[in-house]
Amino acid sequence: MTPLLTVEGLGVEFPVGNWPRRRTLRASFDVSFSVGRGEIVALVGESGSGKSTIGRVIARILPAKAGRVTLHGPGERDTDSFGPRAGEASMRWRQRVQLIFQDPAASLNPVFPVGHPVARALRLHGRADPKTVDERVAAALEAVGLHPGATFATRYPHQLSGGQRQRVSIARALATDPDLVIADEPTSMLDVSIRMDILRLFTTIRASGTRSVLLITHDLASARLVADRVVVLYAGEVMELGPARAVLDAPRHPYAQLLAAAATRSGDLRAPLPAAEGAPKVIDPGPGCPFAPRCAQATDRCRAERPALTAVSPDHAVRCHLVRPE
Amino acid sequence: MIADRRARLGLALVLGFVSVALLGPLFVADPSAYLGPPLAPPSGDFWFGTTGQGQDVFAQTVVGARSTLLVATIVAGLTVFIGAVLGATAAYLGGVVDALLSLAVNVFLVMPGLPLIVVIAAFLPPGPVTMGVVLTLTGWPWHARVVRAQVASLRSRDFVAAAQVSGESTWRIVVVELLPNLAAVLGSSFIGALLYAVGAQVGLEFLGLGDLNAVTWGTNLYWATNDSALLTGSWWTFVPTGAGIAAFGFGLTLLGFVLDERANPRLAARGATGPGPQPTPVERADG
Repeated sequence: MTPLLTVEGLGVEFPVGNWPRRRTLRASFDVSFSVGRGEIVALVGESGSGKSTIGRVIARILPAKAGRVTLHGPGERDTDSFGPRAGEASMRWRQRVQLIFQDPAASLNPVFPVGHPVARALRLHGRADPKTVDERVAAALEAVGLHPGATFATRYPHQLSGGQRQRVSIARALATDPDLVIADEPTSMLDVSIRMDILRLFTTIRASGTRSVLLITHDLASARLVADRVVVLYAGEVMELGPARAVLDAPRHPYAQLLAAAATRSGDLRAPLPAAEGAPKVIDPGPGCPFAPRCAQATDRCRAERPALTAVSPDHAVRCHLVRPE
Repeated sequence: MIADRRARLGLALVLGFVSVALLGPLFVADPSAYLGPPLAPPSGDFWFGTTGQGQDVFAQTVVGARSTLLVATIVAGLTVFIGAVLGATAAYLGGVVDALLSLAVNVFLVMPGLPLIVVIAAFLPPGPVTMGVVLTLTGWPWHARVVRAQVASLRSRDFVAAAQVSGESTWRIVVVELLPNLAAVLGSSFIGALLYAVGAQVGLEFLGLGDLNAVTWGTNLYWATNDSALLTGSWWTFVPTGAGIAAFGFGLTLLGFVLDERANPRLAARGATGPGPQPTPVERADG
């Protein structure tokens, strides 16, 4: 599959606390993966695993400290090595990469009717002129299931339900006709009853052409439902990546096994988890595997030496000392 | 908002005083002229009586409103503007700029306000310009604080990031996306600033730190004390001005409440506009 997005060695750090107790939080470290054209890739991991941060770096809201993000095009190729963020190249990136936020209530400005953000996205990227913009906004809203679009365009965010607001966010993101849509937990703030509808929208986004989706989620069920490939993150590092079926149904990494076990635990809640509880150590991480402190099978080597990403099949790789290449 | 009883009363009071200040001086006698007997009680000739110098108290009250309200409006506008610009800059840029501006704000805040005002006012030549400068210098830090907090919280909201992703420029995000969200806060800050400016101005002039030849609400009260209004029992020399200040302040306070509720939906939910959340009725099975 021709790649659309490649992420190489991405590292993101945030300062926490004030001098003299200033520390560095490592939100992402040496993250590499790619998204093919027309592919849905899911970034999964628990809270604090760095998945949202990676999405925001690709969407150019946050700068990275190291690494490279490249968008491959039919003609041109855009590389973000985190230099200045202005000008035409930046606008082209904005047109090609769009982000859908987790909280649809917070991502819409409360003082404007919901037609405003869609109209702005269309106008900024030359996809509508003042005469046609109302028509185009209505059409964009109807494309995500808000009928009649012209009426919805004049409503304010507080007059819409959570699911309707998220549809507006999706319409805003699709308004620039992007190549890559990053969806940051798009269903986690929604009622369970409407999650399926929103998820189905993402499969139609992909079906409509060569568009790709990077789905950021902690919900393995939705990843399994729509994703082609899955990247499992822990403490900002890639633990396992590969085809969705292979990773989610037969995980190789102990952390991926823990995630899968936690997701399917609805039956017997008293059964012990295959690892200890705890939170990833992202401030002052040690030299070894980040998951070692919680891993039931950790050895001295795991605590001392960071494992490399090992291929277990051509498109399936695991970062663990215990996994042997096949 | 106009449907709110408090808003209507507040608006009527404030607009009433503003029109008196604007138009009133055209219809009353010269407030400085010696027109009648000193300390005459209210009568048909002098509705609010006369001062110790035989000046018309009614004319002084009406004309005094003009200077006091004019200076107060300018001071309120300037303090809110300076506060908003510095506060928004600090919050939006963050980092070193934020640290330096916040330090300046905090320094101004810990300085004891009234003594500082008295000292500055005593050194500068008395007059409305001095008054405006002194009150502006000491009045802006609160607004800077309020606006900084608001912008800091708005800035981290996702709709700002969403506008960035759509490709909006920084200035457009601040002016078009953020500023309308601050309207209610700036409005209620302005009302608070007006209240402060009227109070502080009258206070300074009452202490004799203003221009004593001018006719303002503050000097009216200064001269009333100077003429031993309390000793002679001539209440009419200070009650009209005092009542004017109180009523104007009351009107502003009412407007401020209403705006506060607009700026803070949580207050509106349990405010005087409707009953708050009611306790769930519990039916006892045992009677």
